[in-house]
Amino acid sequence: MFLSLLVSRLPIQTRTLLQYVPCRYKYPDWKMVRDAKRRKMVKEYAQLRLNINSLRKNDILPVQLREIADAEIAALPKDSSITRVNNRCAITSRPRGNLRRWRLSRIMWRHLADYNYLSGVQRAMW
Amino acid sequence: MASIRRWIGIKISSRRINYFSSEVKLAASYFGNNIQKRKFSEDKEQYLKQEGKEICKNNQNSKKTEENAQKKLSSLLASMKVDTLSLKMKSNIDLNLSKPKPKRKKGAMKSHIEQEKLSYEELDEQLVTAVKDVANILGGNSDETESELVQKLRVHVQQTQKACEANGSQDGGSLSKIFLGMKIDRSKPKLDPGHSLHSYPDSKMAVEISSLRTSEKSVSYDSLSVSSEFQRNMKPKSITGRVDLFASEPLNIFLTPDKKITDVSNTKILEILQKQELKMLVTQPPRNGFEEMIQLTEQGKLWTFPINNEAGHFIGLEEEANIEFHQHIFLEHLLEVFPKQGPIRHFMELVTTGLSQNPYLTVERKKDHIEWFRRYFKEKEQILEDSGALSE
Repeated sequence: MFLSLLVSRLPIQTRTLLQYVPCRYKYPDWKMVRDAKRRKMVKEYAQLRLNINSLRKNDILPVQLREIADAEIAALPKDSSITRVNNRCAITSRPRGNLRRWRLSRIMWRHLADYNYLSGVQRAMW
Repeated sequence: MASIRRWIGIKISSRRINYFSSEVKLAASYFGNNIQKRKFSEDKEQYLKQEGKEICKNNQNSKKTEENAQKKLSSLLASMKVDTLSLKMKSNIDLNLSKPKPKRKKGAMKSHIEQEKLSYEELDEQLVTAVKDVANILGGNSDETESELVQKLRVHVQQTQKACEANGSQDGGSLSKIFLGMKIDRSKPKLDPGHSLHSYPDSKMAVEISSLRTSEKSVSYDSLSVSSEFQRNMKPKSITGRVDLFASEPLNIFLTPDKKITDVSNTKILEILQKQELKMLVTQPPRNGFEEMIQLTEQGKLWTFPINNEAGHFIGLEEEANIEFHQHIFLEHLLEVFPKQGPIRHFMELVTTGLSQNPYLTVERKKDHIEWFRRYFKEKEQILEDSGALSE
């Protein structure tokens, strides 16, 4: 079931017969691919955004400067914003129901926990 | 066997064939010219008798026919030159057919045992008693076992006696005397350059191989294992000892002067590949998991255990350990570039306090932050002036 999930999420090039077909991405989903691009962009513009935001989020500097800073940050590419990044499940690329610590969706998490693949995870009983 | 049977069949069926047939003559010439009349002649007589009878029946003149028959017989016998192939064949061919073991009858056994018991005197008393005990323990026919054992022991005794006679001493040839004449072979087996023992890092294996090579000559061909034979045939014969290139006169085949062969190629990729190839030749893959782990730790892929949080596997932490704390904390000197009063100064002081409290950034990065603000404010100088920030 595990493998089948993996295979189903593979890009079309790799899906057939699990041969060594040249594929552009090794992510389970194309949405995941886009998310990866966004993360890369966020890393690139992180420092710049931080500095500009620091100019914006204060009441010491003159208002004109802050307005200019607002305009500047809006001019930056959209994908550089951290809010656009989505923490998807690493295996199934599920957008919702993910646990941060394991980077997995609840379904996959449950599956692995049942088969004793998650260290320190046990069925709750009290 | 079939061929032999065919020849024998010829003997049996010779009654039917003509005595003077060409086939028989050929066979006779092939197997030699010895003639044996005995059995063949008997058959022949029988055949002739039959013939004679038939002739009698046919011809009613019995006497005449009898006379004729007799005459015929005599003439034939005189001129007979047919050889018995089967007998000749038997003498030439030695068939080692399997024979059943001669079963000893009880009567025969007794006599045999008596004979052997007489020879017990040759053997020691201890041996005799031992033989008897063994025979009893083994069970079965104790007499038989006794006799067999005694036979074997006698053979041993005879051999030792012969050895003694050969040595010329009355004592049973002791091991020490045998070893007196022998010398220890201290010559080390020469390692020829062709045969590489480098591939066997274990000294034990190397010794084994070197011993094998030296003992090849002494050991007989049959006893060698198949694999070693095969290897010998497959591998070309290597030159033993050292080779001196300039010992003999040159052949003068190549007229051009010696040019240094350089494997340098123009393309970068090929150079890289050549270097890689050299590297691969030198390096050996890890023999076991431990060696693999060592390799990975050296490369930096595997952390050293127990894990040290300030170790080099965290990027740049070794360099960070050399930097003093005051470099992180005291950043006021960087604010000299900015105006000494006003909102900007206020802002920058806040920035510096924040940075000084930040333990996660390197000093370089902190400086970069401040540098960025300086550049930004320089760009926006006009706006600041207009707003009145700089004047304050």
